[in-house]
Amino acid sequence: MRSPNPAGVSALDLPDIQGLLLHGYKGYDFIRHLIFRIADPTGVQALCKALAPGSGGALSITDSTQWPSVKAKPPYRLNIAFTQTGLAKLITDANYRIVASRSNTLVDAFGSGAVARAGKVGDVGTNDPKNWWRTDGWQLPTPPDLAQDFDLILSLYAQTPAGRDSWCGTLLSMIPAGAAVLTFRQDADPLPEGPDFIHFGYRDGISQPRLQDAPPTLPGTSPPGAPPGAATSLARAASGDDPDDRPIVPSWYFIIADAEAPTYNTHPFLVNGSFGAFRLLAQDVGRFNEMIARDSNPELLAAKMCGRWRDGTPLEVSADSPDPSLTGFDLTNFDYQTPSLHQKGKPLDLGDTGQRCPYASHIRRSNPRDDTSVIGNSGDGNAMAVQHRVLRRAQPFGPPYAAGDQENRGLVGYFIGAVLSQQFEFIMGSWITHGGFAGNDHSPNSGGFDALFGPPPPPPQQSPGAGLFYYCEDAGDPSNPADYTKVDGVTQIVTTQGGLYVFFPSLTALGLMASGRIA
Amino acid sequence: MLMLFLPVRPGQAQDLHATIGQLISGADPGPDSRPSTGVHFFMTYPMVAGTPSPIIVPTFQAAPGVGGKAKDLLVVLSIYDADFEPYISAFFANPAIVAGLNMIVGMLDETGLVAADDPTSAANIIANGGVRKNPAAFYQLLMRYNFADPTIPAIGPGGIANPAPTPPRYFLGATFPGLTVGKILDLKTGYPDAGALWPESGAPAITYEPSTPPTIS
Repeated sequence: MRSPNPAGVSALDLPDIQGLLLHGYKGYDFIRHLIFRIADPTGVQALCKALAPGSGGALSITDSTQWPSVKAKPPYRLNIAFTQTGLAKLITDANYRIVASRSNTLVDAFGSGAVARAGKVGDVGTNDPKNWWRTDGWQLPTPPDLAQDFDLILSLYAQTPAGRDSWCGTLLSMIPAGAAVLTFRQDADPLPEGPDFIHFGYRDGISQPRLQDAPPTLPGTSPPGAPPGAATSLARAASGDDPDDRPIVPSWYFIIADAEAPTYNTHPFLVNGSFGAFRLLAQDVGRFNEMIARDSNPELLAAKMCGRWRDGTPLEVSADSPDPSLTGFDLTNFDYQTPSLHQKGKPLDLGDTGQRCPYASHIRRSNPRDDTSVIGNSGDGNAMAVQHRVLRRAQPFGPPYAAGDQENRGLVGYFIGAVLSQQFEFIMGSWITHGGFAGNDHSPNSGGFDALFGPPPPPPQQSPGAGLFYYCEDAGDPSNPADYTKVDGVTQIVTTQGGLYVFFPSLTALGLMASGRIA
Repeated sequence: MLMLFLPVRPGQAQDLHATIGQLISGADPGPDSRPSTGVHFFMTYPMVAGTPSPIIVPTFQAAPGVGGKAKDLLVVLSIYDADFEPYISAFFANPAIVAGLNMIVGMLDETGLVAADDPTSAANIIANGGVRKNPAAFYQLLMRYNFADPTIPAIGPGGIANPAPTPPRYFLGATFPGLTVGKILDLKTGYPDAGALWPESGAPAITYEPSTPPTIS
């Protein structure tokens, strides 16, 4: 079923759900993530109480309710998340065990933590946790203690750098003395190309899951997660026509629900919360630029590696060049096996084999859409291509690239889903990293690996086709290996510099945590 | 390859097996999940406790039960493409298969093997909503009874370019290594007329020529 979500109507309990889960905070592009070790749980409980909306604190946690108008936009956005160690410190180990015992699937990954699960998401070799957090963001004179130093994240979103500094100062002043130790701090800032662009030069964050019942940020505007220009698409749509071809994802994949979720059980404490992977990912722009420059058509290679031209034009819609006429849902209305209802451009013949948009391209591996030849992507209707999705709330950090510089830069933020093992970990482990991605991939190395992430860190002899990326142009025969362009020397250009599995409590749960309770 | 030896409640293996047979040849297979599951071949075999091996040497053995009553045994073999987790999770998209998996798990007898309150026990999985709500527990349950190793790939005439550091405990041979179900069925470059020869639903019953056993004199 595909139908637009009526503006202003939601079955979700919006005042109880943290805003970051349902809104992308467009316009709040100056971000600061603050990670703490909880030293005094009582003090942090007091902070939780002070941050609860309506408590009268100087700042409060942002919920998911709509803003009344553009003029009434709040000056900042603030959200809070806890690792397993942080949560247990506030609600006690005994209470955590009670919650976990009724929520096995939900806490399967969270309870173990990102360090213990590193191997499942490709965090080995240079991505190994032993190398994490060793950047300028580290705040302590002692090396990171992965088991002790990461309990709580506060993420502040502001409209200007000065606003960020100001609100951050206020926020830090709310923390009772001795309650928490700031261990890591990372700002994220928009690039000159615009807030939607990442350091590799691609427009990012275009195709987010379309959540059932998620309201727009402002009444009458496009729903959260809609691509740039979506409001225009909505305005131009004929009466009764839904211009958004994205399948509707049941909200319980992202907002924990009690009764109706068929894929997990939950303790009531977790309801209206969610889980996420906080990631600090370095991007080697110099190496990426050098890699594509070796090809006779660097921009085509960049598009084949991503699945989109750098302006966001999907290869599946425009095979030969970016198409500036595409806007709004034009950027997300496409499928691989059968064209979606409003898909622009001329699709290839029925039965895609990864010819136009390679199976090794990043957007195809992270969201295979209607392609049931992808292992683990079966089903029909909402069951297909929606069960393994994440909400992305990540922005660039570090300065814009200048040729030859050695600055640290990349992407920082959250990858959100109710069941990390089936969403974030499944995508990273089964789709991004593994070569056996699609059963009908005819490329010479069966897709190999996600081209933007690069080959997995283990030695090349352990990874068939390591360092090789193949693409076939429209005029070629995808079943003929000779028709593929071979790109040699593809190396790792994204490195994990930090990772945490976190829980975003509902506002109700945050109130309970303020007194160490779970009910 | 998956090769399971599942302990079944005493006296239940034959009934369970009959139900599995009905599921396999059922009229509504649901959405075509074959490219996604990548299953090439599977086999099930029920062994009632106390029955002798069907051939001259001992083969499968039923697990001893509590109180002297042996358990039945269900043997399941499946050969599939790609990794274990996406292969199994693909089945969760089909409610009929989920119901079948729940039925099988519900008939397992793990007394004396795993505590009932263990999160990965069959009893606990069923008590908490079944396999789809407890995928990680279900995977662990399967691995508990899996003779095969899901990390050992099939080997063909050319060998494997990146062998595991230690010799595998068995070899899984493939006459067409790398040929996936998805490639066979692919509309553009796969087996000609695959869709007509092997339709996802509505397939006519196959009339096999009578098989002749080898002559033994």
